[in-house]
Amino acid sequence: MSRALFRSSLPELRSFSAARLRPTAAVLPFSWAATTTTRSFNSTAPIVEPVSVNNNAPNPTASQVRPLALKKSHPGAPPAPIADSVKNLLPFLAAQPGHYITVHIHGFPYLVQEGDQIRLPFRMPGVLPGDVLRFNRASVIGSRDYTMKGAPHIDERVFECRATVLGVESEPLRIKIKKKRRQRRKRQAKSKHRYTILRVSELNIKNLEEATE
Amino acid sequence: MSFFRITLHRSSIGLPERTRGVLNALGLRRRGRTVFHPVSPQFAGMIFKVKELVRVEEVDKALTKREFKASRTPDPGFYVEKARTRVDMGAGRQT
Amino acid sequence: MFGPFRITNPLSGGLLWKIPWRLSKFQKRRHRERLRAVDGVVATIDAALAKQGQVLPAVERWKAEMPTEAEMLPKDKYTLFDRKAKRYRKGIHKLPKWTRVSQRVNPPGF
Repeated sequence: MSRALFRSSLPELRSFSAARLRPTAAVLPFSWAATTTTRSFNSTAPIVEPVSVNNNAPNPTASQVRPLALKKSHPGAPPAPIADSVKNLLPFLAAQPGHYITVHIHGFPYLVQEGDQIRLPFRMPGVLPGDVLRFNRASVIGSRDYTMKGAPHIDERVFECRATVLGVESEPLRIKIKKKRRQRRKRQAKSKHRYTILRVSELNIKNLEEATE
Repeated sequence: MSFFRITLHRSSIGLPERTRGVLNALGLRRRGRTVFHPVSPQFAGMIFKVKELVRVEEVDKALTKREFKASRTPDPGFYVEKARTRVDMGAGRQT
Repeated sequence: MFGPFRITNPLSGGLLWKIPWRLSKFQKRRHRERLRAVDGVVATIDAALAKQGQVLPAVERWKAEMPTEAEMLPKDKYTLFDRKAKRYRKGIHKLPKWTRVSQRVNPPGF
């Protein structure tokens, strides 16, 4: 519920009518302009579609805006202005056809293009096949002739990169035989790691009207 | 109120018991451990005793354990924008 | 001269530990960096206490007696006094735990 509180405390959502916040909407209109670049994990609240309620009574106030969201004492931070160099040069990058991006997931870089498949070196908790992830940390965006480097990260308003969770792969079972000295007893330690597979479904460079909205 | 941010950089293996005792009193029990102590002559003297083993900075605020962890954890870099419909496990079936 | 029983250093002297008698340039560089790190720690402590208007006698004594890395002579950085050694000096790496103890001053005149 605190996520819902935080989400609704973003200022641009305040301008929307409460009807657009109704939970059956598939994708909430969402702009991340209000958040600063040093945002922690908590502020990127996932939008999870509500669980289809079949045994609990529905919450009658679920669709209403929480009172904290309307408080003037908790405004979101104003969006930082985009640098002029980015404004001037981004259209050149955006005009070129193919782009690549280096996204950082948990601090590790993945250089991908649209349509690429990523096998993460871990099983991502809390996601199911079909979930859409939005990447918001990138260090490099480039095309054939241009490269945009972040210092150290690119402003997340500039690009839009999404990935779909395809599923979970697993490595072959690894069996390590453990044996103590001077004993015949052997013990097997088994491990089989699972890896989440993603496909980069979308990579767009936003134009500046979108980026500065 | 400022604090010393002390990190044990060199191990105390093979050093005199007094030195190891000072490190224990500072709360530095293993290499790489970082502790925060207020700036005072008592703690300054303890740091001075082990000055060859530690790295010290003066900071304005002592981080709690959780804040310190958060400061070292990289951003996840993603969020779930649109989640597939989850079905309750209590319902007995899973899509 | 040649053959399996030739006279080599380990055979003739018994135990031979091949510790070089002087530091390599990389050892010397790392040693200087360690000295500077200790100087930095002392400076940090001193500055932090000075802000609060307090003085630690041990730090004052250190500042009065101990030269900083820049003030030290190369002779004192890399060697130390030894009354049994020829010319009364030996490499500082002969000092036990030499990377983790401060050894900066030597007897005057040596």
